[in-house]
Amino acid sequence: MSDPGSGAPKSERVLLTFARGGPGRYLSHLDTVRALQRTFARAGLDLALSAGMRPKPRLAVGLPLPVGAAAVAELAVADVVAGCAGDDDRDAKENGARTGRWQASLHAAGPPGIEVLDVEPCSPGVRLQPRLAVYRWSLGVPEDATAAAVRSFVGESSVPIERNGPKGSRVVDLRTSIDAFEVRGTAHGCELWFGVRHEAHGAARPSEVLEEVMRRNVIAGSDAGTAPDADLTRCGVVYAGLAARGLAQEWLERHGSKTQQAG
Amino acid sequence: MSITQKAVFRGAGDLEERLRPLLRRVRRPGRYVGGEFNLRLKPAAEPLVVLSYPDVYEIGISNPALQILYSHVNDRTAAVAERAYCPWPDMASLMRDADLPLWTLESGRPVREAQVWGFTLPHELTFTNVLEMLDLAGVPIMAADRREDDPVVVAGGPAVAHPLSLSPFVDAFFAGEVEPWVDRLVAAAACGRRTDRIAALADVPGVWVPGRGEGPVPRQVHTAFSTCTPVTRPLVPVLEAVHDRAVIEVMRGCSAGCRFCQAGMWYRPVRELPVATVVAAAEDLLRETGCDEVSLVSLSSCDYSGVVEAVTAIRELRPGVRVSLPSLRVDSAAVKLAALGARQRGSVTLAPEAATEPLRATINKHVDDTQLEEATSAVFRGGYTGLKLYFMIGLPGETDADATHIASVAAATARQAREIAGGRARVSVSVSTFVPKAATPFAAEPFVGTETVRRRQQMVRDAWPRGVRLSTHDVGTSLVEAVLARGGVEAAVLVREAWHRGARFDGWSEHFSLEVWQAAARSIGMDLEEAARTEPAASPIDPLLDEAFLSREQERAAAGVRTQDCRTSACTSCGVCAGPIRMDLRPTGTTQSIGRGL
Repeated sequence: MSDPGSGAPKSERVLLTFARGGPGRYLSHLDTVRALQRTFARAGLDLALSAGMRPKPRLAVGLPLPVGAAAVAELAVADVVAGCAGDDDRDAKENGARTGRWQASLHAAGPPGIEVLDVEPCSPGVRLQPRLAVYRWSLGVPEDATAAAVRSFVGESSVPIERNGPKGSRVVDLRTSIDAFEVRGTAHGCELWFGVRHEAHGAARPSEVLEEVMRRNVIAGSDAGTAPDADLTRCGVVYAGLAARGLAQEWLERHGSKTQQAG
Repeated sequence: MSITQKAVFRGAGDLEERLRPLLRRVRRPGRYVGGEFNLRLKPAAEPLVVLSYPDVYEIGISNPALQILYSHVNDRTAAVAERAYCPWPDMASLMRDADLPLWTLESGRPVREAQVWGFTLPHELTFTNVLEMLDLAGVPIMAADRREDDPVVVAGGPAVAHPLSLSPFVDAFFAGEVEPWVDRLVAAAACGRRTDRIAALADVPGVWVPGRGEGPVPRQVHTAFSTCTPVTRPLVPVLEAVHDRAVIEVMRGCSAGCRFCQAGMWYRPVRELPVATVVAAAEDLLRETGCDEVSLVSLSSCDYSGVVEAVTAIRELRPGVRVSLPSLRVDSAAVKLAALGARQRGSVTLAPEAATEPLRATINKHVDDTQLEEATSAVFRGGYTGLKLYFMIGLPGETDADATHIASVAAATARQAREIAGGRARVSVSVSTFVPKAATPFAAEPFVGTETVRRRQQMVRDAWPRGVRLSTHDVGTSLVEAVLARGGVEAAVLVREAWHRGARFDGWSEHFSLEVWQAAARSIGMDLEEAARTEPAASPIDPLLDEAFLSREQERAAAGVRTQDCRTSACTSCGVCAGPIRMDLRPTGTTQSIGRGL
């Protein structure tokens, strides 16, 4: 993509799929963006710059991940300056091979906690507008207890929580934000899966969902409302107009977009 | 390259999984798991050398000395260097509750498994953090209590100029620039028994082992600085750090001769990199770091002979990259900033240090009011929108009028800035407190006292102009720093007592507690104000400065007479240059030295 007549070098927009784990879990959203920008620079792929007094590399990471969360398949869009990696016109016509090389370069250049899994060309108009995110909490809590708590949660017509921010507090209904739940037993307890719908009025945070579910976990007794060994992974995100990434496709196949009770 | 790196993604799972319950409960958990670009992993290598900066990760990761050591040990020796920084109090508390000893960021091994544990000590307010880290690692804080399986604790850095207040806690100190002796230090670390390691270290030039040896240990100078390649594959944090840019040390040492400045005296003589080396290093660094800014650092980067040539060449090579010069001298800033052209943004820091010309003469600061005006003009005409000025209070010979005049200078500078840059111009002023440091002509000067400092700070505030931001230092931290910078072993007792009472992160205003230090002092019969005024204890370190030079400088300070810069004028006979130790200037970008050895 380029701005005709602007004098800026030609660029093309690509979709980047990456995973986050290990030390990468603990990056903030801005840290993640900066790490990806540096990964492009280290890979010899120049990012196009925004216009204005303080040009910034044109790279946008989709839905921010909570600090502490691993991720299976996140998306970013980046505008790469055409020809910056020495690709000639012939190569440009073989987009698959070229973006494959870019993926290999980015994978090699990335920091230990971020793995670039895929690079694919996309239309210049692509924007990352999240519609649904699928999360998994790994819990050291028995499956039965968690399933009962989930039944209690979904049995309520609304689960309002008060969220405090710099602009004051507001009430968010977690119940309407949840797409569906699944509880799966594991050797150490269970996994709590759920989809969070992203709509104009906001979305539930995974930590809020866990807290409200655990609050209903009567079997956990003194640990009600907490799960000290909980471990969060975002398994996939659905963006408007784009194919679902990671395990989000399977989730959609099982649940569609309707709220379902589970457990 | 990535095979090793990516192994961390998988391999670090073990460490990260063990820490996860703690990491979930602390601020900025990324401080404790590594994950930087250019991380080195040598899992089977021995000996293990752990490198530490006794402050929080975001400060420590930006320290260039640790980057030099990390690269050298990992890339040029058979040993492995890993790192640990001081855990923030929230994590320290959880670690103690969980009985989890301090770990290294690379392999997650307990730090106490190291053969050598090296600290770089930037200043005295990090001393309690050294004790905190030792304790968190499960290493006895007193060197005398350490057992055979404990690491040998070594400390270096500028604070080693006067190491007595840390000497009971450290097995060996290294004085000066470590580059020439890294291989010897690593070889010493490879000796089997702890006592053998200490004995081998004691034989390395520049090493002082408390209780051993006779006479002061001479500071070491990296005489080959100008012919060596700078670090071009540094660790690059993924967490936001205080310095978020690629760094090239273009020059070591400073010849300006400011009488209060420990770094200026400690890192003598001036040695420069050839421009060609700087430009090549910039190219490598930008590729390896992915940064979009390269900073040419030194104690005074405008004095680097090839500064314009280097900046121009780097800009031609990488037009989109920003080149910054973090340390500018007022007297040369105007000329150099003009030469660099009007392509700048952000802000510039200048340090007049004193507001009146007589006081500047006392401290040997080669600045007059006209030069400050010219520098201010160059800053804002060059496109910068911000200017920060550094001043000190409590300098020898200072009067109340000298201190109050800081406000007048601030007002004049702000007025000039607005005339040039209008409403976009920002001027801020930092007023710190002078602390007499070892290895300077002012080493024996008494600390001026908290009452005087507070009074003068208030006078400055009362006269302060509107629209200029003023920040002042907590005088309590300066008082403690002064005591530790001149104290003997009794100061070490104070450090231990203060740490026992909870002193940590003393350089951080939110953690420093003068009450804790005062209580600690009382408990050992010490008065902090008095201790900060007493004659400094004799240091076991020889800074290479001639006693006659120091005496002469004291006399000239008292008389308000400046001493010229030996780079541009006659030799000042400071005593540092001798044999291979000499000034090494590289103005043309060639590798030919035009140094003036004595």
